Amino acid sequence: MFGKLLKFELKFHIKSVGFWITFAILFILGLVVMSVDSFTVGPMTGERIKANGSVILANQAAIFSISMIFFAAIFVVGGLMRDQTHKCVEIIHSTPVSSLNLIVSRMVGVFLATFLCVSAVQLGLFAGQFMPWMDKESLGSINLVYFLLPMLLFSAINALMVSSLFAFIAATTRSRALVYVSAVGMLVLYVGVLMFSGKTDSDLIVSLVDPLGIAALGSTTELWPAFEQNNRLMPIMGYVGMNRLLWGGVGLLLYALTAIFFVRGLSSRKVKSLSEDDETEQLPIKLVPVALDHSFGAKFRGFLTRTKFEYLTTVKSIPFAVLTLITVALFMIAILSNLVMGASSTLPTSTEMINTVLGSLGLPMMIIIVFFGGDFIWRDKAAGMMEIIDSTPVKNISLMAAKWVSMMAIVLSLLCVGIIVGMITQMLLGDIPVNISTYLKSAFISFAPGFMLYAALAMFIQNFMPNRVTGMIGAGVIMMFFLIGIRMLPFYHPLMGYGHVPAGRLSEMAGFISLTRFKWFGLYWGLFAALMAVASVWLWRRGTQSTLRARLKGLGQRLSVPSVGLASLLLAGFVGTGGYIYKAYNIDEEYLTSKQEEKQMVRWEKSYGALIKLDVPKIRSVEVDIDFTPSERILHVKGHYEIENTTGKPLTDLYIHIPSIEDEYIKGLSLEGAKRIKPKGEDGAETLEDFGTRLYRFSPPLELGSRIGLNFEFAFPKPKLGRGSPVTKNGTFVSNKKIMPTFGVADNRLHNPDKRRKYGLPEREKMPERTDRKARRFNFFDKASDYVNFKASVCTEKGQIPIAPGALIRTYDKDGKVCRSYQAVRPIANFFSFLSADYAVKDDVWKNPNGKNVPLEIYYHKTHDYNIDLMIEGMKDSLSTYTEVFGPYQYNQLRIMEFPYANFAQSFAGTIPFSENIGFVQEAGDPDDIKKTDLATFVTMHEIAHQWFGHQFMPARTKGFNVLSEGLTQNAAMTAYERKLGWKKARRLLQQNDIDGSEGSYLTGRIFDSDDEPPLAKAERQSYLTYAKASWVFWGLKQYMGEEKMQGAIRGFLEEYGSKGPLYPTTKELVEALRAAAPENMQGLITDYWDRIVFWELGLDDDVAIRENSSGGYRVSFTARVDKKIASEKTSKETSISEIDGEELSEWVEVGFYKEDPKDTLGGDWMALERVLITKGETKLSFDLEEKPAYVLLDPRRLLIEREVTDNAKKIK
Amino acid sequence: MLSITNISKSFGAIHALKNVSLNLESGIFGLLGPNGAGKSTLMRALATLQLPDSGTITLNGVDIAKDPDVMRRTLGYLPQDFGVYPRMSALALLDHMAVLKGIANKSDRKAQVENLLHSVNLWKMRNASVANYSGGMRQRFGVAQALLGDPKVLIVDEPTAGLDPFERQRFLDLLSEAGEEKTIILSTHIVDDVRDLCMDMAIMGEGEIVARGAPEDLINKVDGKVWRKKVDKSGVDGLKEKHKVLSTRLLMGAVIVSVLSDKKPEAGFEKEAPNLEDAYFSHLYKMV
Repeated sequence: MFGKLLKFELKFHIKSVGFWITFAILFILGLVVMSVDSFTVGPMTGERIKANGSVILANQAAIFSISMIFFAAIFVVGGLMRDQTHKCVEIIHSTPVSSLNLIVSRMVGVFLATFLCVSAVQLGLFAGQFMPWMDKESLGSINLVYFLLPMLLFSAINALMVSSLFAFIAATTRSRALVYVSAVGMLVLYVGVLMFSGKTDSDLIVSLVDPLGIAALGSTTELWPAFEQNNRLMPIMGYVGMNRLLWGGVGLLLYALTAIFFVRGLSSRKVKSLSEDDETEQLPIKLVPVALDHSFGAKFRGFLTRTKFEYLTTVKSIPFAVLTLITVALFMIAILSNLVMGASSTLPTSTEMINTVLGSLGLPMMIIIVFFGGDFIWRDKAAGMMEIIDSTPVKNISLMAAKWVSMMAIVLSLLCVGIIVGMITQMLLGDIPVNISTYLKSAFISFAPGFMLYAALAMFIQNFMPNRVTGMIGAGVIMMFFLIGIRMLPFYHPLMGYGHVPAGRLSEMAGFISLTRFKWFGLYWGLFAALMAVASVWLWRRGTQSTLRARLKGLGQRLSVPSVGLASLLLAGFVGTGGYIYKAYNIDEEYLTSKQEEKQMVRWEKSYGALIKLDVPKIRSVEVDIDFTPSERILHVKGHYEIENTTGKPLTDLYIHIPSIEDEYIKGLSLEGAKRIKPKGEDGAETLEDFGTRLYRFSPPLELGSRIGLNFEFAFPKPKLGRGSPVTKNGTFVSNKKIMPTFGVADNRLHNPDKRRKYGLPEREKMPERTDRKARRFNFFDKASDYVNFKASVCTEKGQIPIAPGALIRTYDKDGKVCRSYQAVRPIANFFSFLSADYAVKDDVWKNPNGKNVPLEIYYHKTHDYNIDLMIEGMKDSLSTYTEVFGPYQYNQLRIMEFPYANFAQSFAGTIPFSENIGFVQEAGDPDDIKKTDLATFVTMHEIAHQWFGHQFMPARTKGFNVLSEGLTQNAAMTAYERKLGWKKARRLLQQNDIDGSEGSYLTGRIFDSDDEPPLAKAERQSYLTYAKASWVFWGLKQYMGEEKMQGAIRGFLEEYGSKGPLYPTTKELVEALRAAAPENMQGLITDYWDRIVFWELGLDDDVAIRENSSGGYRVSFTARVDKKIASEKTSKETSISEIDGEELSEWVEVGFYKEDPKDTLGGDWMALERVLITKGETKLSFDLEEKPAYVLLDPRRLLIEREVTDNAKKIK
Repeated sequence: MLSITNISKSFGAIHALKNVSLNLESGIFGLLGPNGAGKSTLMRALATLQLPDSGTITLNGVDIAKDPDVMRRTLGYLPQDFGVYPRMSALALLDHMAVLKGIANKSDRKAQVENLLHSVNLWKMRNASVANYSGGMRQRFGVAQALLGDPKVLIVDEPTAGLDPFERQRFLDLLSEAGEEKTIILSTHIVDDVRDLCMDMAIMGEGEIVARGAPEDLINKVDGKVWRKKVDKSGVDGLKEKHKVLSTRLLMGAVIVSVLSDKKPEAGFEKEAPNLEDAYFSHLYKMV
C-alpha cells in the first residue's frame, strides 16, 4: 500500500511543471557555474582553486540548498495541502487508507521531490565539466565522490530539514499563505543567522546555528590551502558532522511532529458558517434609481477605492503582519551584528543606521516582492470574486493601477518600518542626534527606486503567467537574474541593468556623489516600468477566458487611442533616454564592458607592454597651482616640474601619461627641448594617446644630468552623465597621480593568472628581484622621482579650506577665492594630496621632550566630532612612541583631514586624508573591553607610522616593497597601540586584523588569492602578506628576539636608508638587519617567518597530569605534539618537515599556564609562561609551578603561524 | 433590447455554443438545460467575461464585444459559483462593489446598499464577514450585489443549485420582485425554477437552443401526446427501445414511464396532461 501511495506521490510531483522548471533552472545554473568562468558561487576558480575540487563542490551544494527554501514550499503546498486546495478533503480522507500511510507517503514524496530537484545542481555541475567551452586548466581530475558526498550531506539533509519545516507549518496552520510566508521568514532569518555568525568568535556556535551547514563547512575548510581545497575530502566528523546530525535530526523530528499534528478530515477550527435567519421583516425590493456616474472622476474614485482596498487587505493580512515582524527581527539582527557585536563597529549615526537596516533588506525584500506580487495579481481569482468584479464597468486600468500602486505602497511601508526601527534604535543606542533628512534621502533615493522597479517587474511578470506559482518562480528567477546574474555577463552595459538606479551611498559630508546618474537611470527605467504598466493594462486578465493567447488575440480592441499615444510617448522617452545615456557613455566617453576592457588591456600589453621597462628622467621639484570650484565641481591645475635626466645616457623619448580628460581640457603640456610626436595609427586604430600617454621626443637628445622644465595646465570639466569629477561639492580629495602628469606609460597589464592564460599572454612578470640593483634605483611611489621639492598654492571657494602637504606659508584671497600656499620644508615623496571642504578645525600641540613641538590639526566635518579628542590623543601617542622607538619626526606639523565616501586613510607628508566612514564615525569601544578593537586610534597610529615607514625611507620597487612600507608600519602602530591600550587589546587586534578575524587577515586572505603565494619577504601587493602576515611575524619576532633588539634593528635600518635617494632598500636589507640583531638560535625562525611559507602545528595529548612536588608546588606533565609544514609556493601543497631531507625540527615553543580558561582573554592572563626547545614530533614535558594551574596552553601568545589552535589548550584535571 | 445573433464558442474540441440566436425583452427569461449544455458559456458571453468565437451580442443595438462597457454599465451578474474577499463585511463589500459599478455619490450608495441588505434579509448580518455566510445567505448576498446600481440586465447563472427548498423559494421570490422592467436571464437545470418564474424561456441542449417560447406554449406543443404507465423496473429497458421515453420516475418500487406519442403506445399507457418537464424533455431530446 505504502509503496503504491509513494509511487503516486512521486508521479504527482514529477508530472508537475514547477518541478521541471525548477529542475531545469538548477541544472543550468550548475552547468553555468561550473563551466563559465564569469559566473561563480564562492571563490574564483582557475588553475589554483579547481572548479571541480572537493571543497568548492561541497560549498556549491551547500549554498544552492538555499534555493530549496523557495521551491520546497511550493512542493509542500502541492504535496501536503492539495486536498484542501482542490476541495477534495472529504473524498480522499474518507478512503480506507491509513492516516499514517497517507501522511508519510506524502512527506516522503515531498522530501524526495525536493531532493531530486536540488540534485539537479550537482548534475549540472557534473555535466558542466564536459562542456566544450570548459577551461580545462581549471579542472582537476574528476572524482565522483566530490559530487556525491555533498549531495548526501547537504542536498539530502537540507532537503529533509527545509521540507520538514514547511510540512510542519502546513500541518499545523493549514494555511498556504503561511507556508509561503514561512519561506520568506526562513530566508530572512537565515540571512540573520549569517550576519550573526559573522560576528561570533566561537566556531562551534557558528557551525551549529546554521541550519543549512554552510557556516559549518566554512569553519572547517576556510583555512585550507588551495591544494587541500581541491583534493581533500571534507571530513564527515567535526563541525560538519555535528551540524548535519543536529539539523538532520531536527528535520526528522519536524516530520514526526507533522505526522502527529496531521488532522485527518476537515479542520474543526474552521469558522462555522453563519446561518441564523433574520427575523426582521423583509422589505420588498424597491430599487431607488441611482445616478450612475461613468465620468473620469468616478473612475478615478473607483481606482482610489480599489487601491485602498488592495493596500488595506494586504496590510491587514496575517502574512503581512508575520513578514513585518520577521523584517523587524532582521533589522534587529542587522543592527546587533553591525553595531553591537563584533570587535569593531561604526557609531550609530543616522547614515550608518539607515544603511544597516535597509542594507539588510536587499534579498528578503526581493522575496517579499515576489510573494506579494503573486498575492496582488491573483487576489480576485483566489477569492472567487473575479467574475463579479470583471463584469462591472470598472476599468482595467483602475484594477491594474490599484494593484501596482498598492504594491509600491507595501514596499514603501516596509521601508518606513525600517526607518522607524532605525530611528528608535539610534536613540536607544546613544545620543547621536537623529537626522531625519539622512534617513529619508537614503531610504527614498538609495533604496526605494530599485525596490519599486523590482516590484513593478514582479507584477508585470505575474500578469503573463498562467498561475500564481509559475508566476512566483518566473518573477523570482528573472529578478535574481537582474539582481545578480546580469552584471556577471561579460558584455554587461548599464543600459541592461534593470532596477539598478545608482545614487550610491549618502555621505553626511558631501551628500550623494552624483545625482545625475540617478536621475537619468531613474528616468530610463521608470519609463520602462511605465511601459510595462501600459502593456499590463492592455493585456490585463479580464473575464474567464484569459489565457495569454486569448488576451493577445483581443489586444487589438484594447489598444485605445490614448493608451497607444501614451505608450508611444513612453517608448519614445525610454528610447530617447536610453539613447542619451548611450551617447553619454559610449560616444562622448569610452564605455567598455568588462570583456572589452580586458581585451583592451591585452591589446595594450601586446603593443606597448615593453615600454614599461623604459627608463625615465626624474622629477626634482614640483610647483603647482590648484584651483577648486566646488560649487561647479571643477578644478584647474597648473604646474611645473623640474626634471633631470638620470637615465645614465642621453634621453630621446619620454612618454608622459596624463589624466584621462578630453584634449580640449588639456590647456597646456610643454616639455622644454622636446616635441610631441603624434602617433600615426592605422585608420581608426588605437594609438598610445588613446590610452592617455603622449610621446615627447627631445631634439637633440637630453644630455645626462641636464635639467629642463615641464609645464602643464589641465582644466577638469564639470561632471556629467558618464563622466565623473574628482571634485565634490563638499569634501574633495585628489592625489597628484590623478590630476598631474606622470612619466612612462601607465601599467595596464592584466594580473589575474587565469585570464592571462586564456588570452594567451605569458605568465605575469613578477616584480624585480630584491638583488636587482637597477630596480633599486626606483622607489615604490614613483619611478620618476626621488625626494622632490614641493610648493603649492591651493584655492577654493569661500567657506571651504584648501589643504596640501607641506608647511602652511600664507593664507590669502584671490579673485574672491580663499587660497593657501604650502611648501615642503625638506624634499618629500612625489606623492601629494589636495583637499577642500567646509571644515571645523581642532588644534593641539604635541610637546616633544627632545626637540621641536609639533602642531597638530584635525580638519573634520562639523557634526563628526565624536572621536576628535581620541584621534588627537592617538596622534600624540604615536609621535611619542615613534620618536622614542624609531627616531625623530621629520615635518613641522601633522594634520588629519576628513574626506567623504571612501573607507581608507592615506598618509602623505605630514598630511593624512582620512575618510569619514572610518575613524571619525568609528565606535572606539571601551578601552578596558578586551573584546573590542579601537580602530579610530589604530588607523590614526598606522597612518602616522607611515611618516617613518614610507616617507622617511622609501622602499625600492622590487619584491617585498610593501612589506617595508605596510609591514613595518603595522609593527610600529601595534607597538603604539599596545603601549596605549595594553597587551590584551593588541592581541585582540592582531586576531581580528592579522590572524583570521577578517577578509584581509593572513589565514583568510591567502585562500582567496588566485595567484601563487610567495614567502613574506618576496610579497608583492598581497595585503594579506604585506599587512597581516608581516604584522603577525613582527608580533612573534619581537617576543622571540626581544622587543628592544628587534625595534633597534628596525631603527638602525631606518637610519641607514632614511631620507636618501637610490639605492632604495628592500626586505633583504631589513631581514639582514634583523638577523644581525637576533641571537643565533633564532636564525632558523627568521628563515621560517620571512623566507618560506611555514605553518606550525601544535597540539596537546590528553595525558595532562598534575601532582604536588617536593617543594610544595605542583608538577604538570604532558605530551606536546609539534610539527612544522612547509608550503609550496606553486601548488600550496604542504610537506611536513619530518619528510624533508636535511631538515630538522628545532622549534622554540612557549607554554602558558592559567588559572582561568584562557579563551576569553585570548591567552592574556598567564600565571606562568615558559619557553622550551622542541626537537621531536612528540615530546614529554613537565614543569614545576608554585601555584596550581587549571589550564595549559601551547604558544599562548600566538607567536607561531598556526591555523588550528583548539587542540593547543587542555584543562588540567 | 438584448439580441444574440449566431454566436458560437468552442474550447478546443468541445463545441460549447453552436450558432445560438436569441432576442430578449424585459421580463424574466428562463434558460433551461442540463449540465454541460452551454448555459454558463452563454451567460459569461453575455456578462462580457468571454468573447464568442463568432456571432454578435448587441444591447440596444451596440455590439458588446466591441464596447463591453455598454453592457457592464447596466449589468447585474450573479455567477454560478463565486467567492468573496476574506474578512470583509457585507456592508463593506457591497459599498466596494457599488463604487465599481459607478455609484459615485456616497449617500446614494449608502441608501442603496442599506435598502438592498434589508431586501435580501441580510440586514442583521450586515457586519459579519460574507465569507462566513451559509450558502443561502451567500446567494442572497449575490443577488444584492447584482442589483446594485439598478441594472437593466440581470444575469443569474444556476442560482438555486445547492439551496434547500425554503431558501430556493425565498430566492425566487426575490428575483420575481426585481423582475419588473428588467431583462432577467435565469439559467437553471431545474424545471420548477422556470415554471414558477418565467414568462419566456428557452431550452438549451448541447450548445444549441432547441426550443423557445412561453412555458405554456411549449407545453401545448406536446399536449395530448404524453402517455404514462406504471411498470416493473425490468420493463423499462424494453420500453426505451420501442418508444420515445421522456422520463422515468420511481414510485413505490415501480417505475412510471412517460412516453411521447401521437397515439397510445401500448396497453396500459394513459394519456395525461403534460407538464413543463415533459415539454422540456421532448424538446431537449428533439422529439418534437
